[in-house]
Amino acid sequence: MIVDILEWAAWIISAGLGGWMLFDALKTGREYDEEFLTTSVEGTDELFDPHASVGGAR
Amino acid sequence: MTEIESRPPQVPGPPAPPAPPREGLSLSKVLGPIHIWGLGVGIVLVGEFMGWNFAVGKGGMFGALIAAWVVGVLYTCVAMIDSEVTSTVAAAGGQYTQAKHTIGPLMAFNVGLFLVLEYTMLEAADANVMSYLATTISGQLGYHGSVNQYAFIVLAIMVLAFLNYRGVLATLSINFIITGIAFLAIVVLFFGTQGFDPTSQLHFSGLTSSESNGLPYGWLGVFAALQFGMWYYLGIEGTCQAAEECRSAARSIPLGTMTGIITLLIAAALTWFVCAGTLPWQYLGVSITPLFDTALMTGTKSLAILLAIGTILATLASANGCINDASRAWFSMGRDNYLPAWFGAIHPRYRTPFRAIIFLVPVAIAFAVLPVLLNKPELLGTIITFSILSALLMYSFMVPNMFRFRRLWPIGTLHRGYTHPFHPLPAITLGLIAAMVLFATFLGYGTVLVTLVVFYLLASVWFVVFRYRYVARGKQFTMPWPRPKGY
Repeated sequence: MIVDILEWAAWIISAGLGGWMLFDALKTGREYDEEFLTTSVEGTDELFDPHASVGGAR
Repeated sequence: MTEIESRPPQVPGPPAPPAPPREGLSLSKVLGPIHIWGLGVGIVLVGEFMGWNFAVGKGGMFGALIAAWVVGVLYTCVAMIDSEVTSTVAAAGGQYTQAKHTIGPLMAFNVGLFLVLEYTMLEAADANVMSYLATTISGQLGYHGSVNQYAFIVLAIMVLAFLNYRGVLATLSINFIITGIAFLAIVVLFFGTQGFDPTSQLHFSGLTSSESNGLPYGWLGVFAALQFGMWYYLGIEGTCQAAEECRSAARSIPLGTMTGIITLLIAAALTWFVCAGTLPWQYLGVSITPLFDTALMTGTKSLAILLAIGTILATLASANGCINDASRAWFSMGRDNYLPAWFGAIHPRYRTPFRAIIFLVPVAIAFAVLPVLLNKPELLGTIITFSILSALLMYSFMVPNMFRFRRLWPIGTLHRGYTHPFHPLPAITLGLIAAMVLFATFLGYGTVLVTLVVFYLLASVWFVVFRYRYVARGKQFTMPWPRPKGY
């Protein structure tokens, strides 16, 4: 009996989470311009600071 | 088809120019070394709780121990090489991005696929194992009816995908905590079995009394055990996928990866030691949950409960990390137009590659339920082998990658967060051991290997004929690196 309830709960939670992610993804796609959503480029960080030392001890 | 020629012109040699300010979306830069440790060790640690012990079935106790050492050397080389290269490449995609910079688009496309398949198949296997654990636990609780495994497979993948969708910081913070608990469970078991005093509870006399006890199939068995020795460490290279989300990739990636491999070497040694001293090799070689079984043998209920929890947490952490890594690889390929650019989108609120995460959910579920659907539990082994072989193919790429990286950007021309010692020894060692393990795996799973190679060949043909024309050739290189030597 408990296992049956757990199984149903698993299906309901899964459907809820899956449905929410799909809904949110579609909503985001409608609300924002596609070009904006895909603007990211390869990362940069302090590695590329011109004042950082050029490493390599060996 | 080398893309380096199409790299936008830059000032040769250091210092590199500062990156121009960018408008638009980027992944969150929120991760530190502990998250990288949690990601790398989290993906792997499940292999200590289950899987490594099949090496005992192939090569006996000593066979599994030798496999742990030999494959441990392989992964130490992987960790060293990845730490150096990724500490300069603050970009998602890990080895895919490395291949893009050092070799070319076709190699990068293949490496991207290796990564996606490695992590998605591992995630599917983890979800399948979680459903098995749910069945086992319900049996322990006195329920002897049938449990619908589909429900728990789908639940596990959905909950973890949701977590990944909502943000990387929470996802990897949770991974750090649950991985830490799982690792501590192994340490507690070592003390619980009084492993510090081998003559007390553990029994090695049978193992050491004659060679046939330790090496029942001789050195051929040791060779066969190498494939399952991969389980001790498979996935530590996944730390690279988080480089773009680190506050400082130069610090976090080497620190997280190197402490991660040290943790795994310790975990592998402790695991072999307590299991070999508690369980007979004939049983250990076929056990599904060796650490849990070892805890049961101690007769201490609290230890058994702790190791049961550790097993579940390790499985969850592994699947969680796999979703994170597979989605970053898929996202990176979309961003560079190696796949439809639609996959290269970032969620404006959660700053995650949300479409890549959602897209891979049904793929993982399909492979996770396949063994249940066809009523062929042995298919789980095939799925895991897909993952292992994809990883091995990727390690084979890392050898030329390391040589090319040092040749194109010699030390002194590019800021490295970490420079690994003894080059080219680690790359050569990695190549030799990877070839050995690949051959051992071929002997056991030749058909799977051939199938996989054919799949990658067909995918490569598709890429060259239909996809390469869309690749963002010059635009895919946005890091202000100095021009490579010789170009």
